[in-house]
This record gives sequence, C-alpha cells and structure tokens, in this order.
Amino acid sequence: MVAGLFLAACSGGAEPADPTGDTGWVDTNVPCYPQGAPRLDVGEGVEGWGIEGIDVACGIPPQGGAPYARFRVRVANLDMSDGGEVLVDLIDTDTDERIGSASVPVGFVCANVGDNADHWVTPEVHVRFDGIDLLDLHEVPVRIEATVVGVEDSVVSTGDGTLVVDEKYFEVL
Amino acid sequence: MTTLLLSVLLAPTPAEACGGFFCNRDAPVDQSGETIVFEVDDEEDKVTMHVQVDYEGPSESFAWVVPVRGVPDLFRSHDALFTGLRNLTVPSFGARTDNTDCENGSYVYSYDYNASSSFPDSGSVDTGTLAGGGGVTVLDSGTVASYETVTLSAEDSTVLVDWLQENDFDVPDTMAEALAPYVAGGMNFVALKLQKDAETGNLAPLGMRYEGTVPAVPLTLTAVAATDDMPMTIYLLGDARGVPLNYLHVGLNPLAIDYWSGGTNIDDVISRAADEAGGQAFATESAQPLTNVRSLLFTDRMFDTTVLEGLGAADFVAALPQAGFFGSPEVLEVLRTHIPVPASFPYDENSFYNSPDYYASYYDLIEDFDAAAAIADLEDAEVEPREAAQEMLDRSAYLTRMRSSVSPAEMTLDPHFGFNPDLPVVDDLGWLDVKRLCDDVIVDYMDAPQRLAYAYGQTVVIPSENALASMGLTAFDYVQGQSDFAALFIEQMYTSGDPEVLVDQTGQRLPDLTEDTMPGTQLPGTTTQGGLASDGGDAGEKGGCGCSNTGSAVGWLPLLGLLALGRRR
Repeated sequence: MVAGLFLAACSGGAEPADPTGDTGWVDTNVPCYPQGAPRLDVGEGVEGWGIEGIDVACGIPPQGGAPYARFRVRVANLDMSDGGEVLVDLIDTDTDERIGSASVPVGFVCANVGDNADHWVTPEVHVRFDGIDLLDLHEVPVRIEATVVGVEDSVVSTGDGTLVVDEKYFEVL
Repeated sequence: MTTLLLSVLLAPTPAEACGGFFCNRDAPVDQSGETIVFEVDDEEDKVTMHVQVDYEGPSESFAWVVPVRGVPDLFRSHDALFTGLRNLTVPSFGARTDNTDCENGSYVYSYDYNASSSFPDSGSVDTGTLAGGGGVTVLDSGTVASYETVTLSAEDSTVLVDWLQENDFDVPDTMAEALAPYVAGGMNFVALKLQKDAETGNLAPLGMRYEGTVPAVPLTLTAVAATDDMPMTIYLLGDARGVPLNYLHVGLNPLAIDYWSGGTNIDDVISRAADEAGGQAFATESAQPLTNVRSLLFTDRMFDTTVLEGLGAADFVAALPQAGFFGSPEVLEVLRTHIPVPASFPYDENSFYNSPDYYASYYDLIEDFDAAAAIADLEDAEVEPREAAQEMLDRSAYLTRMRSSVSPAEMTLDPHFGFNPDLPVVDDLGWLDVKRLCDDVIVDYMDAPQRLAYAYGQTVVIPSENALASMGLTAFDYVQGQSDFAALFIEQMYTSGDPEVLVDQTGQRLPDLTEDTMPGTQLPGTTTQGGLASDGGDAGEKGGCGCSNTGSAVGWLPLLGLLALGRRR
C-alpha cells in the first residue's frame, strides 16, 4: 500500500526526519494520513464527485452480463492501506426494493498529486442490476447508499438520483 | 500480489478445487497465465480475440467457459501470432559499462534478456451433435483445433452448469454463482473441452469473433480457477495506443529493474507495481505504430503444398521443409493424425518424424496414408491461421502491449480497454548506461564510483564495485535498497487526453549516504541533489516522508546525484 510504501521507503534507507526513538513519533505529513473525520466521495461515471440529484447512466458492460452502472469512490481520513470493501446499493424509492448492488473487496491507492491528492482512490466499482432488463431501469428514482469498510472503521455516503438509459440502447434492444 | 486483509475476510473463497475459465471437479486445472490479442472492427461492431492460455494441471480434464454476445465465429489461432507479437514488443534490458576513463579497462559489456514462452497448438474444424434441453439451448457446436466447442444460451446459471456437467464439461457446481450475472444479462456461452482423443498438452490458441466494440476480459470468471499472481498479457491492435479503462495504469520505476541481469525481475516489478496500484492495474511495455510486419507470419511464397502431393508417408515427412513446413505444434498434430508413430517403433516421436529416411521401414507400416487429406489438414492448421493473423496485422496501424499480474482475490472487475490517440508511444525501457568515474586519484575502475544513467533520464551515482563488494551488495541490491517502489506513476487512463495522475513518485527522495558507505574519496564531478527528479521538490516533500540526513556526525557526502527526469508514460 502506498502509505506503507512511503513509510518503508523511510525506514529502509535513512530515518524519517526528526525521529525520536521509541516515543511514537509519527510523520503526519505523509499523503492520506487521517487528520479529521472520515469522508467518502462517490462519483458516477468518469467525472465529478457527488451523488445527490445525479443521473446514473446504466448500460450493458462490454464483456456482457447484467446491466450495470459505473461508480468511483475516494476516501479521506480513513486508513485504507490494508484494502477494504466497497458496498454500493441502489434502492428503488418507489418500491423501496434494492435493485442494484456491488460488494467488492478492493485495493486502494493513496493519491499524492492532482485533485485526488490525500485521498484513497480505487478503480471503478460496477453496480449490477441482476434479473432486470436494461430498458426497465430508465428513469427509475433511486437512493444511492455507498459504504467503504476499512480495517478499523467505515464511512457512508448517500444521495438520491435517477437511473437513465442511453437512447442507443432503445434502438438496439 | 498483495493479499488484502479484507479480501480474505470478505471475498468468496477462491478455488476449493477449480472452476471458471479452467475447471475440473476431480483434478484441479488452474489457469496460470493468459495472453490475449484484441482487434476491434468499428465498422462491423465486432471484436476479434485470440487467446492463449497457460495452465497447471492435467489438460485432459480441461474445460473452458467464456461468456459471449450472440453466436461468435470460432476459429483456430496460431502460436506464431503470439510469438511474433511478443518478439515485436518484449522489452530488452541490459547494462552497458564504460570504463574509458580508467587506466585498466575500456570496454562496454551488455546483457540482453528476452523471456521465452511457448505453447502447443493443434486441430481441425468439424461439426458436432450436442443437443440442448432443460432450459439450455445449443446455438452452435463443432470442433476447433483439438477442442469440442458448443455455444449455449441458458435460462439460469444452475441449469447451464447442470447441462455442462451432463455433457462431460468438467465444471464445478460453484461455477453457477459466477455465471449468474452473465446469464441475467442475456449472454450466451462458449464452452470448450478437449476432444477425447486429443493428446495431453494440446491446448491450442483459439480465436473468437463476436459482437461488441470494447475489448474486455471476463476475469471474474477466471477467479474460481486461477493461480496467485496470474500473469496477463494484453495486445491491442487498432489505430491508436491501447489503454486500460477501468483498471489503473502504472508506469514502472526503472530503478526497480535489474538491468545487470537483463531485466530478469521484470515480472516481479510489474506484479509489485500492480500491487502498489491496489491490485488492479496494467503496465504498458510497448505502444508503437505497427510497421514492417507484412511478412511476419505469412507470405504468399511461404508454403508450397504441391511438392507434397501424391507422396508416400516417409517422402511426405521428408519433403515438409521443402514445402515450407517445420516442426511447429500445428504440423506435429497433423503428423500424429495421419502418420502415427507405429507401436513397434522403439524410439521417441521426435526421432521418428525427424528421420523419415532412416526409419523408412517403420513408415512402411503405416497403412492408407492419404497425402491429400494430410495436405488439407496442414492448410487448416498451419497455413490459413497464419494468413488470417497476418491479415489482421496488415490492417492494424498500432500495437500496444500491456501486462499485469492478478490474484484470484483481485479478480473482482472485468478489465475493459480502449484506445487513446493523444498518448505518446512507449518503447522499451532500454539500457542502463554505467560510467565508471575515474580521475587522477581513482585510476582502477573497480575502485571508481559508478554513475548510472537510466532510460527515463534519472542519473544515480553509486559506490564502486569494490566498495559494494565490501558491503556484500551487488549494484542492483544497492539501487533497489534506495528506491523500493515499483510504480513510478499510477494513473487513470481515458480514451482521449492525458491520463489523470493519481500517484507520482518522481519526487520520492532518496536518502543521502554517508562517507562510511563509500570507501574511497570525493566523487569527481557529482551533484549533491537528492530525489528522483530535479523538478519534483514539492512532490518530494509531500511524498518522500520528509527523509533527511541522520546518523553520522562525520558530515554528509551526498552520493546520489539525480538529474532531470524525462517523464514519460
């Protein structure tokens, strides 16, 4: 893991700056070091963060299978250096049924540059809608519940959105 | 690969016996590697996939299930395609040492490394007679190479697994869960098994052309029967550089590569880099315009089967080289079919086929040899697959080679790939230039500090060979000890524009070294800068743990002079 990597880079060569023996000195300047309340950002598709009021694009994954939606997550102030699990549930707010879900153990990367600096980020998370036809998902209102479970703690983010299916699918399905 | 703590706790238990891509209920057959060549036909909305798999276990128990859209065209591929692409793209690593400033030597030496791999191949095309029923529909069946193939649709995954088991496709019950999302999505399935009379070890590369526009690997199915750190090599043929879309991309740290041994640790470097990216990432080893490949796999003059017409068995085998056929697995398979080694032959198969004149009396034992049928099979197995693969290369403008290493616990996401015309070429990481820094005081190259110039522009100065020997270290040990990360960059790729860099280690500071670590004298002409990049000061402060000089009161003699890093992805 990246944080561990940085620490290893220090301990493997020269000592970290200003070590004080066994006094428990910790370098809080390393990227992703928790310095506040845990926070989970969730993004849909490939751009932007936040899930309140969003349209969630649904489609058929390139390799096939049940319809899916793509999400990204990033976590701040929670140690994800030993990996974690990402859970995303989409609940039909008209019926209160869970219609889509993802539950995947993933490795996190501690970003040290750019807009994601100081966040633990993951590759995409794919929410699957098993047993539902893609076209039936269009304009379904959903509550999005995302949870990241770390080794020591977890963090939750929720929002309300609407599922949308691209026009191209209506032409071919 | 890193085994995530939570993966152990939360992930489904992988592979009690086997299942998924390769599977067998009694004798585990695990996939230990796969190489896939993708070509996308945007006009026809078709994806062509050539697959070569490595496995561990008894191949006679092999079965393979792949989700597909529609009813794909199945065809035999050819090992030469994989060998040819590998030879075009595999990185070469080596160290060149320049002792010209020293009194006792002036030479350049180098190592070159090309990892080797091979895979058997065989087969022919035929029509089968498998029947559906019980919620399973047989859409197509037949044989390709040494495989029996069937394309199926199913109402649910349990009846699909039941059908496969009833028809001697040796898949475990646990496969039903992995297949469920694909069944729910209306996918069809291609199932393969070896023909009953196929020789053990004949797992031929297979080709598939199916509906789609995005290359994707059904990796989550593989999780049920894969080895840890399963290597994956992906070739993308297209008009631009191929990129991973839902997996991260890593740029390798040249300092992690053992140039002195010819890069023999490159697999480990890729595996570590993928781990550092969370376990789901690819490294690009090569991405370049595809040129000078017009005769790589096939030319019109490569084969002349007319010289084989009407010959007896011994003469047929003796004339194979004249006809353009050599000892490939494909040719061997045809010979095994048409000219089987007589039971009375006292030596091995190679001896029989390599010396037809000498063993002509044994060839006389073969009855009913049909030269025309053997020629037809040679065309099917050797000529046509090569020609088709060559045509694929001829219509492609760009070739990208990406590699990764994935363990079953990390196979939670099927990787998708795309093309990005805005990204630069990637050629191999090249050579490491080692300059022995002799001067008026240091005249023996073994006592001279060494300046290492890496392909990306990093320059590092390390102690002399004698100094390293006194520490019990090799040069690579020493460099690796100072730079123990494998991913120089971790980034998200897109189908246009620059990647989004998530982790940039170019600012990672390297620890300065004390005079004690380097017997000798002041380095001639070295810089005193620490860090992997001259322009990475801020990142170095951020990403480098704030490492600073500690320990010795003798004073600091910085030995790592690090010059400009020519950043490249």
